[in-house]
Amino acid sequence: MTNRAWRTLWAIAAATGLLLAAACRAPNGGSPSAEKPRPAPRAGQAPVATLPSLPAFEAGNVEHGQALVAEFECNRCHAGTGLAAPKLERDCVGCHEQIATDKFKTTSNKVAKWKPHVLAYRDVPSLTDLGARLRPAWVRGYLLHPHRLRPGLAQTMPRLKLSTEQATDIATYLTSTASPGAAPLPVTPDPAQTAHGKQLLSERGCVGCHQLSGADLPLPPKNDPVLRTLGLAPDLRYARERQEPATLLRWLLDPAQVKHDAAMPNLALGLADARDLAAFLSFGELAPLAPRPAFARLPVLARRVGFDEVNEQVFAVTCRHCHTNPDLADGDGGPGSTGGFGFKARKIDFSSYQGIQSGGVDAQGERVSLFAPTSEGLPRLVAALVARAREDRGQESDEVRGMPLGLPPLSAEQIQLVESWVAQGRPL
Amino acid sequence: MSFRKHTIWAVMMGACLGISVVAQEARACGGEWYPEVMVDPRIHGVAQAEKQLANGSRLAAAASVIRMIPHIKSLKSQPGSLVGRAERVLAVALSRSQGALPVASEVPLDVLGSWQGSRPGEASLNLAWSVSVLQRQSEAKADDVALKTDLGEAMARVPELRAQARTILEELAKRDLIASPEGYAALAALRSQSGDSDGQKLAIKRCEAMAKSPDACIIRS
Repeated sequence: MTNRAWRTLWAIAAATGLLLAAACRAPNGGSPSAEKPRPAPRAGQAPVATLPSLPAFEAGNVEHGQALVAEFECNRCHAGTGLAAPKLERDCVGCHEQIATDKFKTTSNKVAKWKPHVLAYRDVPSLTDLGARLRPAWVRGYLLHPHRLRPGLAQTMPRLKLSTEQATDIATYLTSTASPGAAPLPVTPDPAQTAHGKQLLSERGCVGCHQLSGADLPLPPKNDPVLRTLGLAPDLRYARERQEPATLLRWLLDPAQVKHDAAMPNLALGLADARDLAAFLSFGELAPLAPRPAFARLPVLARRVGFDEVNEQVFAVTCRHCHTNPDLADGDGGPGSTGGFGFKARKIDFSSYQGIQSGGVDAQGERVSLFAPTSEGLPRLVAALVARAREDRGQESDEVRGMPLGLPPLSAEQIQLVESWVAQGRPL
Repeated sequence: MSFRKHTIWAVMMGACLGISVVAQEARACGGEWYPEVMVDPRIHGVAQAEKQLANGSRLAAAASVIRMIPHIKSLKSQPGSLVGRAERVLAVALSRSQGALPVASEVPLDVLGSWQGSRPGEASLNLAWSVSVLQRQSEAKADDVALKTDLGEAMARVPELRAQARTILEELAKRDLIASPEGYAALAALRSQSGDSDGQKLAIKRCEAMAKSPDACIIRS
């Protein structure tokens, strides 16, 4: 062959190669076999961590788990529980959505009054196909100790009154409806793969929706209200706890195949890219999270705090929704009054001054004051508000359940207002 | 035109005339028709009366209940029902007014009747009615400590029921469950009557801390 012929052949081969490479990088035409070359790991780059160890999970009782899901009324917030959708008056998500979008049938002034307070619960993850994507041990742990998981949403998963056995049964039931499939490739803590996976997080736009605490990556932009589902994007730091590396790989390759109503789009990742991403998310080293400063109560106010003020700022807008007078609410005083979410009726009524002074019933059915001191010396009502602020910082109390349950904690100023009102003798 | 045709013609004309007369009467063709919706004004009225009572306007609250439900004394209600709530407002307002409601400027005299408590014995009978209503409601809702507080307060104003009133209010006070400043004022009066001046001072102190106005803590026998 002549030199000219060789040059022509080389040019054709090079052009074909370039075209192939371009085609393979196109979003919808990814081929597993042809990917962008991975950078070789430099010394000290992308060190790997071991998978977090979760307590061993021994499957519980599926039937009991299903009964518990009904008892704890998981379907009031979540789809995919296997239970029928609740009626509107018990459908937290549906009701809040209707109010937020002016579809709720009531007077416009009521809607205007409620609207600023219904943002929570509009976006709640569906539990569909849970077993195909989450580790049962993690589900159990999250049920027992809910924590901040989705930076775009307020932490609203309530800390339910669950024993470890009950949580095990619920996790068993919820994960029993689907099982994780086999991984097409092994995901291993290979330094080159994890390094490439970290690089892909930015390149493939993952950080447009997700945060990854502890990795030196840009933060996702603030949620556009139009793109509300972005709020469901979890902090990928927890991916390694939530999912097996193989499950993560399958999820990255085609989320809808793992969960049919997945909000996560198909990124058309090639197999090796998906594997490297899964490797980084599962094994890439992450800096430990800086501990949040402990909650500090503000000193009680010297000025007079009357009931009208504390009612307007706190009780009427936060407490009353779950603790109201059943006589004024067709017999349903909310979970904190007539019972719900697995809680027995506590008969606590925040709808009036007298109602608040009347306390609630304890586990033995005895009326007790909301102002009786706890072991810490705080009036019980104040202790519950402080407990929620502490729960938000990862400190749970066995004595007092944080309130508002399933809502973000009150601000230090709001708690100060309540504490001041109580300290002043609960003036009208 | 045959007889039969005349008959049909006459019937049709009659029907048209009838329809037009009825339609004119109902204004059905002129755009002034609207569906008649019955709204029970007592739903809002009772809630308003409860607010008035909570704000210390007991006479206004009582007057509004009597106006809305003049035959309230003849009714037997369940606590928590609309009439039950109205009964409670009236019973508490009566007890805090010593059984006499001087609201003749707000309520026609023939409706006000003995609620005014101006004739001998009327005030006592009114207080007795107040106690009986609160007792009935309290029995039906045994764990409602706000009702119990109101009952204790009302009983404290009936000399022969003071011992019972003291038992109720002391029991609630021990558990920090007296639900109103007036309840503490009644307890202070009962303690004072039995010579417990330290206890009286403590109850007055609690009342003053809770009340909007110190007037609520003035001991009335």
